[in-house]
Amino acid sequence: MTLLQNTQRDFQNYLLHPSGANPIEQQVVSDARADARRRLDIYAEAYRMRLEEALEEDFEALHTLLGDDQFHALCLGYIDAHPSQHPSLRHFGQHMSEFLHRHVLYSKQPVLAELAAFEWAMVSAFDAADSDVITPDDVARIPAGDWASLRFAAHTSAQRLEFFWNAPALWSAIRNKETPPAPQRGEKPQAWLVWRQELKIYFRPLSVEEAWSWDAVCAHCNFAEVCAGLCRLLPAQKVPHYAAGLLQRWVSEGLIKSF
Amino acid sequence: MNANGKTHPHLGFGLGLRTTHYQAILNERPAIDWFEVLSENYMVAGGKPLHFLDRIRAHYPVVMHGVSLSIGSADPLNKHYLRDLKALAGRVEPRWISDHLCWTGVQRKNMHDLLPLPYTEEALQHVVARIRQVQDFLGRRILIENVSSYLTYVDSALSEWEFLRAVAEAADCLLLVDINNIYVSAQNHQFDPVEYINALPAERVQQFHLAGHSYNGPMIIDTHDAPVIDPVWALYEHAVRRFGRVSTMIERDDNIPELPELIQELNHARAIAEPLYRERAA
Ligand SMILES: [Fe+2]
Repeated sequence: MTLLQNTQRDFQNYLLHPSGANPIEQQVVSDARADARRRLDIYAEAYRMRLEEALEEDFEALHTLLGDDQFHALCLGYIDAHPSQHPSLRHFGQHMSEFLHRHVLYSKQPVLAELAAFEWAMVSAFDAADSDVITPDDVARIPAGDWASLRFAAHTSAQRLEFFWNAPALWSAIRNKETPPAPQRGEKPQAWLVWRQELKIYFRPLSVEEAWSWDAVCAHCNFAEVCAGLCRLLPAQKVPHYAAGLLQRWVSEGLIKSF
Repeated sequence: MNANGKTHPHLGFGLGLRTTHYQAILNERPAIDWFEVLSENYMVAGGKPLHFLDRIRAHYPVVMHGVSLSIGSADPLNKHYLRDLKALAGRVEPRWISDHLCWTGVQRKNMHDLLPLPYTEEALQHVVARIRQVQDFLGRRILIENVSSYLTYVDSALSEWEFLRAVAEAADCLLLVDINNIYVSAQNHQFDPVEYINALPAERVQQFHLAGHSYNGPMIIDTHDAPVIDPVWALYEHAVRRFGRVSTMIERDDNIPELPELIQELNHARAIAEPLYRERAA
């Protein structure tokens, strides 16, 4: 190892674990103004503060729900568990939901991991790739004979989520500065879709039939296959009308980028 | 090189582009000569950041300023980062690209801070070779900025200004001189900021940063959350006397006021610099 490598490894170790003894202290000049440790601590404190600010931005509702002290404790734990590996802070919070889910304490409040997943989906939709989307006119021009074999591609920002808990309701209340409802667990998981249309982020729950259809489309099933599958969930005579209605809705919501 | 001796033309007086100002900039087209954008904020697939950047760059000259090049890191250069940076430059067509004389992490971790380098012969060789590599890859000279620092190393054999000058000359790169950072580091390490400015190679100074800062005990922290203070304005005046017409901008990252307040601060920079430009021209 070169001297530069040693110095940087030790310095970084100090930032990551400021409490232990570290040879970097001997590498840093102490003077009347501040000793080596004080000088290193300025960096160590700034390191945590900066990452915590990034998490505050991305997990506003989680922050509100937990309160400042608990959120601060959560951030410190997360920062230790998941040092940033990316040139941009944009990705730093990506493991938050998983972290909460596996955490010995936080996993006892499962709504937290779901709320984090919901907020992260919005972060991801915010700067997902742009694409042109198909319009109702494009759909109207599809020749009747082509329908059965059509496959559709979802907008890059669209994310399918599944929550047992009322995480989106909590999020909405917190966003509107209302008292959030008590966390409530449903009998079955509820499907949700989060996406961006133009620059705005949308989310809504999906019925079982719509969720199944959306997943089938995302798995590159063609329209005939989607309809066939729907026949297991709905009376067969209702399926063509239902499927056409879904597609119309998705198109008007900017969810379909091509076929 | 133009008559001014720099590679790029003088852009005038600019601001760091911040999301809170996007809409006002497009609606009001304020009299700001140019914008500096933080490269990493736009190294994304799509959405709002690129939407606004595309529109703002249609009306204003833009330069790209990065924080994660990590030019001084002992890790290999991050090829993915460089590729993304080059792709963004292809889209934005910035007048120039800058980053800092620092390292931001090793062992593939990123501390998201501008960490100081020891000013040793080893670090000098390392940084010079990497700036050359980056410049070759990007097909252009880059600007390297001096950072604020809160510590110095026992091993440092050179002063920061000697090191920066040696880097710039050996790597043949340009300089972004942050006047506030010189002031902050001068206070924290008790050196003479004027000596620092006097030591830099004038023909390579392409851009200035101005900013405010805050105190943490006896140390000054480069927080970019307050107006520029008088001693920094005085240092700026000295820098303009020494370097002439250099594109100047104000960085504000926290407590961000409305545009008119920043424009007023920018006009203060103009009021200092423009008479000196005329003096030099006479
Ligand atoms: Fe700066």
